[in-house]
Amino acid sequence: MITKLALEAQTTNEKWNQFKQAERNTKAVEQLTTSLDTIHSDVQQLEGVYQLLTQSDKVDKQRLAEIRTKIKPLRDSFRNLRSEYTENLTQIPQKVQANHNLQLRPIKNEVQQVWRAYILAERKPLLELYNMVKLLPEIKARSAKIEHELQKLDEYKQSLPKNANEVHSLITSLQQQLASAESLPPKIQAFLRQAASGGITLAAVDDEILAWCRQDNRAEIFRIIVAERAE
Amino acid sequence: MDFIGKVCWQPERVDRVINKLALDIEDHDFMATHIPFEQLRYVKTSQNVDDKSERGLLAELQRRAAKDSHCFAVIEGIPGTGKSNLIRWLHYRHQQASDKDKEVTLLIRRENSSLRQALREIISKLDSKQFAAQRQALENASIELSKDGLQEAIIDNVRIGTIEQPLPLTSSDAQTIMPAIGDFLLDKTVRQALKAEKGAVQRIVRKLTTGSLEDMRFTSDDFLFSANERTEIQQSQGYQTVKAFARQLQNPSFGQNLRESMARYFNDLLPFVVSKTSSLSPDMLKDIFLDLRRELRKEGRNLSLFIEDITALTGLDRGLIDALTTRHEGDRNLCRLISVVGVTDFYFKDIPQNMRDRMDYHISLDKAEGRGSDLLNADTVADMVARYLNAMRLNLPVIQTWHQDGSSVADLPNACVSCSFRQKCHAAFGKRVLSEDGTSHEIGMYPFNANMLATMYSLLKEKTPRNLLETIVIFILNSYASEGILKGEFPESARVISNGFQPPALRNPNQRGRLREINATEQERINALLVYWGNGLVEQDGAIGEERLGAVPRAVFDAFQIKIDWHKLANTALAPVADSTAAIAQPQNQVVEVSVPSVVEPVRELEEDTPDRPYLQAVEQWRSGGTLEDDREFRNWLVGSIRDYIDWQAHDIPYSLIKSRITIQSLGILGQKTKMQGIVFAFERTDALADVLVALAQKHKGNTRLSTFGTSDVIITGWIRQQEAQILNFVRQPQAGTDAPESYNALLFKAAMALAVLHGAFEADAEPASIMQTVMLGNFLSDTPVALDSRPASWTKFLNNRRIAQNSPTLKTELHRAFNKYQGSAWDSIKFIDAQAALISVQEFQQQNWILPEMPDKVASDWEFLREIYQELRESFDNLRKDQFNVISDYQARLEQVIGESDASEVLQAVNAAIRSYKNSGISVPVAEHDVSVEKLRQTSRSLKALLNPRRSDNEQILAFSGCLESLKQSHDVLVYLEKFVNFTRNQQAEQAQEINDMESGQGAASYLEIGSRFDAIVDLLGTISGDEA
Repeated sequence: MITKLALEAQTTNEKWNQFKQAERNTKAVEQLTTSLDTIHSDVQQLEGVYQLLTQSDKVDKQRLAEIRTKIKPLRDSFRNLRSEYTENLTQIPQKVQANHNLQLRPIKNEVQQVWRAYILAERKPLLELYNMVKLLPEIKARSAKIEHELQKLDEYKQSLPKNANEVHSLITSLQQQLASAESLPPKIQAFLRQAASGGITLAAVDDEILAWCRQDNRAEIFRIIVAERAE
Repeated sequence: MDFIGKVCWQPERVDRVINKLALDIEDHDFMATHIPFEQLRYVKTSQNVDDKSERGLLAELQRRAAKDSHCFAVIEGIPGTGKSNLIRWLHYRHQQASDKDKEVTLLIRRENSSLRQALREIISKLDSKQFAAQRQALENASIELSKDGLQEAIIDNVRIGTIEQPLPLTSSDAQTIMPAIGDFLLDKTVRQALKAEKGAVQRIVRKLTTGSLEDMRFTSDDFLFSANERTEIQQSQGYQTVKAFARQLQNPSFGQNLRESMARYFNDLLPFVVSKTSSLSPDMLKDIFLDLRRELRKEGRNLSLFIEDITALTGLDRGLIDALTTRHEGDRNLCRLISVVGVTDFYFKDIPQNMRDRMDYHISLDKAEGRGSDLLNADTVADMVARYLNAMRLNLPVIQTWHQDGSSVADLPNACVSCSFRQKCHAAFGKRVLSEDGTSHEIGMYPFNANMLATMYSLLKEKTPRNLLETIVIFILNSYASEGILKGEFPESARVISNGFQPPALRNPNQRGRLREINATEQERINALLVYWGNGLVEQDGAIGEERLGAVPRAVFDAFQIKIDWHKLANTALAPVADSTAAIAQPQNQVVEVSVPSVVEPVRELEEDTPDRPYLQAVEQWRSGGTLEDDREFRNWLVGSIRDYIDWQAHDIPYSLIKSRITIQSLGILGQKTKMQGIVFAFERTDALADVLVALAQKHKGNTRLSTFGTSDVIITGWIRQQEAQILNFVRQPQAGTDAPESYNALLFKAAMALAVLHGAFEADAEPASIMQTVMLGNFLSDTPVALDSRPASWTKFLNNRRIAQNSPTLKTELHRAFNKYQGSAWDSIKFIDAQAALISVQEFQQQNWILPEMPDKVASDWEFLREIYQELRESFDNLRKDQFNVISDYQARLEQVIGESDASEVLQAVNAAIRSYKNSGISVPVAEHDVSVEKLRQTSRSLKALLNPRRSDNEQILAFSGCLESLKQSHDVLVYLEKFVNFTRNQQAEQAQEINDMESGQGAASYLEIGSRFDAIVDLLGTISGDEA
């Protein structure tokens, strides 16, 4: 009885050993797949952002070029791993993870900094423009939407967007909404900036300005206040 | 009518007439029983007193009263010496002689004389309105607090006392006591302990409220706390100082000294405490007394104060003494005061010297040296008891009339006068002639006699009149005499009528046998009469009809209904034996006409403290049913005598065996004080043995002058000869004398053989000689716990069973004693084993198929260990054998089940391969490769089969079972190995199969194939960024 049992035990154990090895491989594949999916997602995000940034004139092109030089070795590294994974499956997941941590993540951080600068640079003129005209009746009707979009744009500076095109669309939307303000004559723009930041003397208001003020129900938003003569 | 079984006293009068407190006795009885104090000892006197009797003292008081002279007399004595008696008599006679209009005479009693009652008694005498203020002061002083309130107040006042009167720093314990005492007395548990029923606080309360007679002072024991109290104090939330102090008080090494210091200190505080608690200060009491004396002076009256015991007024006593010693000669406004104060000697020590100096008379009733009273000698003891007997015989009206007529001694009624048996009674029991005032009364001593009273009195530890009355007279009359005499049972025995002391032995204990000859059933009663009423000798004399035994007249025996065949006695000629010192025999007439100077002197010369006396008394006590004291000494003497007197060589018993068998540890006497363990040959309580013990005591301790040279040896050897057969039996082998199934030796051997089997002491193929040797070595017989792995659990349990384990060493010892023989007649310790007897036992037991014989239920004590072993073995041996068989069968069945039909080599090859396979897979296996060899497995299989071989005889199987320990152990190991492997492999296989199944169902090859495309996508994207898309 024990003899039979012992022999069966050997057979079972051998089969078990084979399955055990297969199980280890499966686990490695699963682990690798997960890692590669994560990396793919990161790289995809990076690519979108990078493309957007390269199109903007508000980013540091030198910095972008430096980043680009770092991408190449990373690409080579993944290419190498691609070639060896079939032979050394159980060790590849660790190597992939190491690439992710040691190479991709620092690049991503650098892009993140450039991205933040880009968002701030895009948002600043839009905000100034909005502040200049936000009381005008034709702008005021859309002020809630504009403010919401300005806020959303500000939030994009925190991290890289999943989809860089969304950010691009947002900036475009804001620019379009404030396009009428941007097209105002410089004299009017100067008047509006002064009036919005503490008032302007009648002496500085000429007929052209006055006429513009009286157009399109704008007269209701301006008031004349007596003030001491400025020294 | 014959003078037999008479009770001439009135039993109901015993307690009335004899009361331990003189002041409790009614006046008529008191005066009728008062024995005059003839020789008072004046420690101090202001002038020479010629007449040292009580009458002389009374005359002194009256002389001083007549001369208008102040008097302060102190009578000192230990309790029971008669202070109260004397003071009461003085008071009675003084009052009788005084002019009641001019003399106020007060008696402050001790009993019922609480402070409150004493003071009220004084108040009752103050009928003048002018005493209203004093009366009020005294009433206010009454203790009206509740009992508990009083206790609390007392403890509080002690505590205040410690503040007001701290222990001087010069006291060695002051630094220990003073820092803690305040908090200590506030501690709840301490207060509770101090308030214990017998504690000092309750004593003080009783003294203050009921006038208890006990000494209220603190003692060291009052601070000795119980274990519970100690724990409670230590576990309480109380102060650490209190806990530390409590620990010091209970310290085994110095606690006693500290407790004594505490008691002394608290006693010093007592006057303060009592005064504070009763709201009456000593000064106040003194003032009241002085006011009283002033008032009496104004009325032209004087005061005589008789205080039985000053300690009744503890706390105020100093104020009282101060008032009593204030002389009217210095203050003419005070009346004259005659005061007589009783004090105990203990109290007297505390009286300051300045107060002692003011005593006019200091009289001591104590012995000049030692403890007790000087006032009684043989004559006065008899006189005193005669007066009490007379008072108890008289009808109450007769004695009351006499008292009303002035209690004149000359007119004292005498009950004997009208008794028809007077002459015969007085001749037999003696009489006392009481003379006073020129008259005399002859009072009979029945049922006592002077000798009996004197002897008993001499045996009292504390020789005082009170003790005489309580311990002897009341005890005997109340407990035994009244009924006993009527029934003819008095005196029952010397021991029974001896209250708290050892009765004397016969002067010549060798004469004890004679008592049996005279009257075996009444020998104890006769003995009592001889040792107390007579001269302690069993010797007869006197003419026909007037015979005496031991100087006790025949009439005494008749009166107590003790039947003696005097005629036969005369023919046996119980004349004084030559060696019993006729020279010291007492003159016969001393029994009734005794005029011994003092009973403190020995009544009989033989009762001197001769070295053998305690032993003789011990024997007498044992003989009459008591415990045998000093039994070790007696047994030692017995051992010596038995060893010496038996001709051991004649019985072929070597001396070394005697030395081991006849020892003080192996010989006992029933009724001895010492408890004995183990095998004891016990001698029964018989008169014959008592005589032997007496003879031994005399032989070893007796006074050589009086020793009965030769007689002792005759008694001892005679008795040993009677016991010889039994003793020889005991020495050879402690035979039970019961219907034992076999000889003791054979039983010992078989029990040891059976136990040897269970201990696994035999080889399977052991030959009888080897079996004998193993059993005789007996190494397996010990009381240390046995642990037998591989054996049935029941075997281990059996061998560790208390009766087996505890009796095994005895079995071993006895076995050695039984079978170790001595070479030839050599009286040395060279031994050899009685192999022949042992071999016979081996073979016999084997032939009997190891069936143990049945022992009787009851055996002699020496056999008890063996009976217990047999009982256990008979109950279990067969079952244990079956258990072992079952264990082996079980092993074999399991082995067969594991290996099946396979060959050992095949089995182990597969097993080892499987273990290797597992190890290679990184799986830990609980058994190692090659732990069991092929040969080992084959051997196990073979040995199990052999053990169960049905062709084996019982004997072969039992021996095989005994010797199979190693093969059992091996079988056990092999089985454990294989079964462990099987169990592990089964589990492992099941787990692996399950895992394989899981893996098969969960395997996904597709994911493996997608890895490459994922890499490609990443590489492409990175190429886009880097601009290196190729």
